[in-house]
Amino acid sequence: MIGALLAGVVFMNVAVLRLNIRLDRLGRDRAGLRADNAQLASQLSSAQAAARIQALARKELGVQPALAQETTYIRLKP
Amino acid sequence: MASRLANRRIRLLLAVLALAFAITFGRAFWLQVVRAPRLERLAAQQHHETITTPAGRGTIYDRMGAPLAIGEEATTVYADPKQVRNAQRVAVEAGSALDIDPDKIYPQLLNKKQSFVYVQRKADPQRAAALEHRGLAGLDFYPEERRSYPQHTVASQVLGYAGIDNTGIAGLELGLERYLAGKPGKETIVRDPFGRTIDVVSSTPEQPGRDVFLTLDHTLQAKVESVLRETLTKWHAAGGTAVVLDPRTGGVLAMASAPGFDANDFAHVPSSLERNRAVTDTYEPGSTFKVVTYAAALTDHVVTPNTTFTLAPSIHVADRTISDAEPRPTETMSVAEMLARSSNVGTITLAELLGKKRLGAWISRFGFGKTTGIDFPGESPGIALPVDKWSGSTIGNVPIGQGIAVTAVQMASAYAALANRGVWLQPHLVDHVRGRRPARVEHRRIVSPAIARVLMDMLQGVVSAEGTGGEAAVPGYLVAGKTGTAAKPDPHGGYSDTNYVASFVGIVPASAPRAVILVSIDEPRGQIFGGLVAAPAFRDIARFALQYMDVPPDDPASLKSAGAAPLG
Repeated sequence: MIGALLAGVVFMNVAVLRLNIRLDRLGRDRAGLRADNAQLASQLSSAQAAARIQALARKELGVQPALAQETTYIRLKP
Repeated sequence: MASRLANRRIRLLLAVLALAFAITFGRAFWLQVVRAPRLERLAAQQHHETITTPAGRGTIYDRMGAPLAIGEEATTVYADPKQVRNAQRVAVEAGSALDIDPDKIYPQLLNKKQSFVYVQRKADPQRAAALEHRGLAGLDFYPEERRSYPQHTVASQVLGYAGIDNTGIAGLELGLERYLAGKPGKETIVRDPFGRTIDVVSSTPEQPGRDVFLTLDHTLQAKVESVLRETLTKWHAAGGTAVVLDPRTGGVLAMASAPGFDANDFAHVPSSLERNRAVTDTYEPGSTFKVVTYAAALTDHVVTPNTTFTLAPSIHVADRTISDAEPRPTETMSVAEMLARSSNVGTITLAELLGKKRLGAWISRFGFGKTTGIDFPGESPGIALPVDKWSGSTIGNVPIGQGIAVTAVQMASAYAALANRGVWLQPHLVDHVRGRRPARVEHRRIVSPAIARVLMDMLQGVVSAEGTGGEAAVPGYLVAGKTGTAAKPDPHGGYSDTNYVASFVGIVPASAPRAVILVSIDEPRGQIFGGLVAAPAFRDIARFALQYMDVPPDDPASLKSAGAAPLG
C-alpha cells in the first residue's frame, strides 16, 4: 500500500516535471512565433510602402499613374 | 580464548560502526541544521533564477493600419571574459558570424577583470543563433527588442526614434513614451542541470506597451515627401515643409520636412534633419498671414468684400515705405481684389482702419503666438509681439506677415478653421491609443460661418487668372488659397535680398473642404514667389490627395478638358 502510494507520488512528480519542461518549450515557441510575427508585419509594411509599389509598377510593369481626367465619377441616386 | 577474540572484534566493529554513524549523523546535523540556510541559498542560486521579461514596445500604425514603427526581436551577444578560454578564437568566430570587427572585441575578451562585456547589442537573431550553435565557452545570448521603421524615410521626423534601450528619444516615440513603453515582468524559475525550466516559483507578467494609431496616411505622406523632394531639387532650395490637414477633424493626414532621413539609421544623421520643422520651427509667413487682417476687417464690419479703395503704389508707415510686390500705378481695388492680388498697400490700409489693438486681438484669436497643443513634443509657440511692444512701423509689417513668426501647423490650422465654417480644431497626430478613448479635440469658433464663407470665396479669387496663385489650380476642383513670399531676416536686423520663404496654403475642394495643404519652401533659387515655387507643389499634392481620397470633382467637364498632367 505504502509502496503504491510512493510510486504514485513519484509518478506525479515526474509528470509535473515533464509538463513544466513542455511549458517552457511552448513558452519559447510562443516567443519565437511572436518575434516572427513582428518581423513579418515589418516586412509587410515595407513591402506595401506606396513609394516602393509605385517604383516597381513603373519599372517592372510599365504602369503609369492614372490621369485625373481618366477617372470617372458616377453620382448615384439615393 | 577464541570466543574472547571474536567478542573483541565484534566490539571493535561496533565501535567503528558507532563512530561512523556518529560522524555521519554529525555531518548530517552540520549540513541540515547548522549550514542549512546558507546551503539552501547556494542551491537556490544555482537552480533558481529571477529573470526580467521585457515588455514589448507598442506599435505605431498609420490611419490605414500600416505599421510605421514596430518592435522586432534581436539577440544581444555578450561575453564573460573570465569564462572565455580562447579569446582569439572567440573574437574571430564572433566577428565573422556577426559581421563585426574582431580587433575591437579581442582586447575586451582578454580583460579578465570584467565579467560582462557586450559583443554586439541587438544583433541579427539568425546570425546570433548561428554563433550560439558553435558552443563557444564564455559567450552568452539574450533576446532584446529592436525598434524598426519598416517604411524607412516615411514620416521619419514625425515618428522620431527609440534608442538602443528601446526608449523614445525623439518625435512621437518620445511624446508617446508613456503609452508605447510597457512594464517589464519578473519570473523566478527553477532550472534543471540542462538549463530547462522545471518549475515557476513566482511570476509577474509583463504588460506590453499600447499600440498607437495615427491620423497620418502613409500613402499620402509618401506622396507629399516625394513632391517636396522634387520641388527642392527643381528650385535648389535649402529645405521644405508640407502639412496636410483634414479640416473636418483637425487630424494631420501628412506632415513632412525635406530633406528627410531614414529613422533606422538615426545615429548617423545630423540633428538638423531630424527636426519636425512643421511644428518646431518658425518662419515669417508673408502674405499667407494677410487672411487674418481680412477676417478681422470683415468681422468687425470695417469693410465688405465689395468695398473699394483707391490705392497708391506705396504706403508710408512711420519711417517705412511699403509697396506691392509688383509695381503698379494708383488703382481702385475692391477688398476681394486686394486679397486676390495680395496687395500689401491694401492690406496695411485695412490694418490701419482696424487699429493695432483690434488687429492684435485677432492675431491671438487665430492662435498665433501660442502653441496649438498638437500632440508632438517641442512645439514652438511662434513669435507674436504683444501690442504694447509694437513700434510705429509694426502696423505696416505684421498685417502682411512680417515681424511675426509662425509654425507651419499654426498657419495650416488657421486656414483649416476657415474651411471648417469658422471653427478652429486642435491639430492632432494621434487618432487613438489602443484600449483608450480618443482624446477630446479642442475647438473654438474664430469667425462666423458667414464670414468664413465670404473668406473662402475671396480666397478662390487668389487661385484664378487674376490672382497670384493661378498655378495652384486643380482641374475639376474649386481651390481656395493664398500665396506667400517672405524675405528672411538677416543677422544684421534687416531682411535678406536673396533668401526668401515661398509658401502656399490651400483648401480643396473649396465647395466641401476635405484637405488643407500648406507648402513652404525655404530659400528657393531662380524664383522666389510662393505662386511659382510652392503653388505647383500644392497642386501636385492636392491632385493626388483628391483622387486618392475619392473626392468627386466639382466640375467633371473641366477635368476632361484640362488634359491634366499625369499624377505621379
